[in-house]
Amino acid sequence: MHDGSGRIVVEQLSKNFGQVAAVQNLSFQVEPGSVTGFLGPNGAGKTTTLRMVLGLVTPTAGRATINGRPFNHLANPGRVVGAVLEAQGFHPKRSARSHLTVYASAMGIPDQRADTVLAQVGLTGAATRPAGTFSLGMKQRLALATALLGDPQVLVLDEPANGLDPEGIAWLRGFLRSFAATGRTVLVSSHLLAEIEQTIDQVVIISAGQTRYNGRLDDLRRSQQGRVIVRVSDAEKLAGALREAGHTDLQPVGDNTVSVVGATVEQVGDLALAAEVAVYGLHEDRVDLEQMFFRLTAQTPPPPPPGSGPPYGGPSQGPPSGYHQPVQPGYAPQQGFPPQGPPSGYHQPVQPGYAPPQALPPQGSPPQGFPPQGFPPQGFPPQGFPQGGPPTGPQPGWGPPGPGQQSPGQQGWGQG
Amino acid sequence: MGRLIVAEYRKLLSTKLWWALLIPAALLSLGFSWGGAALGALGEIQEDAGGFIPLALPAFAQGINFATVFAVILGATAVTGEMRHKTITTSYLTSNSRGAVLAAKLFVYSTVGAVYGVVCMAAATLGATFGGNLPDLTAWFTLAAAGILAMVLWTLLGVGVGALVGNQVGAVVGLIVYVLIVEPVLSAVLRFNDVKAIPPYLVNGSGSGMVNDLALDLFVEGLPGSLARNREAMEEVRGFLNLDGAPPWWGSMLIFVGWAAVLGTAGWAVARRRDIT
Repeated sequence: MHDGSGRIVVEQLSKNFGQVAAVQNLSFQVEPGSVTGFLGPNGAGKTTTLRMVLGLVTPTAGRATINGRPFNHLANPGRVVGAVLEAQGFHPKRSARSHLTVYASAMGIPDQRADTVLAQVGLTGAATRPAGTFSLGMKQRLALATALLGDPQVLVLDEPANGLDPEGIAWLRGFLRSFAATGRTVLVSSHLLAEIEQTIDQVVIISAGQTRYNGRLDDLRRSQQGRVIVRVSDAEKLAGALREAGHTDLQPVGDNTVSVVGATVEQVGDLALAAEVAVYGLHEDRVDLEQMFFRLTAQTPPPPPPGSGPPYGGPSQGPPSGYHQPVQPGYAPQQGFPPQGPPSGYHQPVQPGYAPPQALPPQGSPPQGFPPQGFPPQGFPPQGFPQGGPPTGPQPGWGPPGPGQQSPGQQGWGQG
Repeated sequence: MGRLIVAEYRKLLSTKLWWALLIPAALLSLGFSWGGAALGALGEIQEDAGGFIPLALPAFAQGINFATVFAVILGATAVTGEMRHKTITTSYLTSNSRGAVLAAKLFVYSTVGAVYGVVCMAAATLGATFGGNLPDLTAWFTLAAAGILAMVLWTLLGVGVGALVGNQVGAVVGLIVYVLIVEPVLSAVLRFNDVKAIPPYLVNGSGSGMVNDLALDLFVEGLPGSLARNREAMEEVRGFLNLDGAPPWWGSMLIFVGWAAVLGTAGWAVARRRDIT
C-alpha cells in the first residue's frame, strides 16, 4: 500500500477557511532519519498543514503524502504514522489504559502494547486513572503514548512541549532524537525556535501560510555567522585590502563604515593595519537564530512568485536551494533606516517586496548611495552562501572564533 | 471493520453513559406498564367493561416512547462525544477510512439500541406482572418486538443527527426539544388547521405511531365483548388520541425506518467530509 520510505511530502498545499487563506501553496519535504522542525508564529498555518498531512482537513488545493500516499490511502495508518495534536484529547472518565486499548483494537495490535507505551512515557503508575485527572504534562505523555501505540514509522507532533516541565522537555528531546536515530521520521512543530532548536536538524519555517526557509538548521545557522563592523579612515582602501585577502562579502553600512561577513575582528584589524588605514571602531555584530527566525516570519508575505516551482529541497538539492526567497542579511538596525513595523527591533527592511532575485536592485544603483563600484548589491549574493565549500567562518590558524561565532545550542548535536 | 467494531464497543463500555441512560429508560418502561396493568386490573373497571382490560398494552407503548428518548440521546453522543473530547482525531488517525469508523459506530449503536430494547421490554414485562395484569403473551411480545425495533431505529437516528450536527449539546438538546416540544406543537397546529395528513409522517409521529398503533390494535383485539363493536369505539378513541388519518402501524414503521435511514446516511456522509480542526 505504501513505499515504506517514511517520507512526508507536501506539494503546493493550500487551504482556505472561507475567505481566510490559512495555507498558501506550501511545499516541503520531510526526510526519514532526522528530526524536522516546523516553525512559524501562531496563526502561520502550521496546525492546518499538519492536519492536512494527516487527512483530518481536506486541502483546497495541492496534496500531502506520507510514504508516497495520501493519508487516507494508507492501509493501517496508525501503524505508519503517529501524531500528537492539539486537536486530540481523551475522554475524561476513561482510564489511560482503556484509552490506549480502544485504539490498540482499532489498529489490530495486542493490548500489551498499551502497557509498553505507558511504560515508555512513564505513565505505568497512572494507567488505571481516568485521563480527566491528569495534569497537562501527563496528558501530553499520554498523547505521545497514543502516537507510539502502533509503533509508527513517522511521528508528527504539534507543539508537543506545551505543558511539559523542563524535565519533560529534555526527556522529549532525547526521545525524539533517538526515535529519528533509528531511521524514522519526526516532524515537530513549534512557534518557538528556542524550544526545539536543540532537538531538530532540519527546519521548515513558514509564515502567513508560506514557506520561508526549508533546509538544514546548521545551514541557517551558518548563514547567520557574525560580521565585523569596522569604521575606518578610508573604506575604499580597506575594502580593496579585504577583497585581496579573500573577504568578498562586504557591505558599506555608513560613513566609511564597512561590514565584513565571515571574518574575525583580528583579521580585519590586521588587514587594516597592513593597508595603513586608521581604525576608529571595530566590533563584531551577530544576529542569533531567534532573530533570524523573527525576520523570516515577521514579514507580510508577497503573492507567491509566479512560476516559482515547489521550493522544497530534497536531500539531493542541498540546503541552500531551500532558500525560498532571498533575505536581507539580518543585522541590527543601521542608522538611516526608517524603523519599520512591529515588532520593533527585530524587523529589518527587506528587499522590495521580499521578492525573487530578479527583483533585486540592479547593479549600479544600489540603495543608500554607496559607490557603485566594488560593493555588491544588498542581499545575500548566491555565491556568498557556504554551499558545501569551506566555511567562511574563522580561517584556520586564526585562533578561537569570537564568542559571537559560537552557535547557540550547537553542543550536544550530532546526527543521531 | 471488525477491529473498528471492537474499538467502538470498547469506547462505549469503558464509560458510564450507556448504563446511566439505560437505567431511567428501563424504569420508565417498568413504571408505565406497571401503572397500566394495575389500572386495567382495577375491579370496578373490569366490572364495567365486563371483563379483563389489557390497559397494560397502550401503557407499555407509551413507556416505550418515553424510553426511546434515552436511546436517541445515547445515539447522539456516538459522534458528538468524540468530537467534544477530541478523541475523534485519534479515531480517524487509527483507521484507514472515516466511513468505516462511522459505519462501525452505526453497527455498534444499533446493537446497543437492541440491548436497550430488550432490557426495557423485560422491565415492562416485569412491571405488568407486578401490576397483576400481564395481557395475552402473543400480543405482549408482538408489541415488545416492535418496541425493540423502535429502540434500534431511534438510536440510529440519534447517531445520524449527532454526526450531522457535530456539536454534542446542540444535537442532544436539539433532539429532545424537537421530539418533546417542536413536533407536538407543529402537529397540533397542523391538526387545528385541518391538515391531519402530515403529522403522522413526521419523525416522532411515525416513530411513536408505529408502537402506539400496534398497541391499540392489540388492545382492541384483547378487549372483552364484540370485536366489531370495539373497533367502532376505538375509531373514536383514535380520533381522541390524534391517531386518525395515520397509516397502519407497519406503515408508520416503514416511514420511521426511512427517517432513520435518511438521517443516519446524511450524518455518515457529512461526518466523513468534515474538517477536524
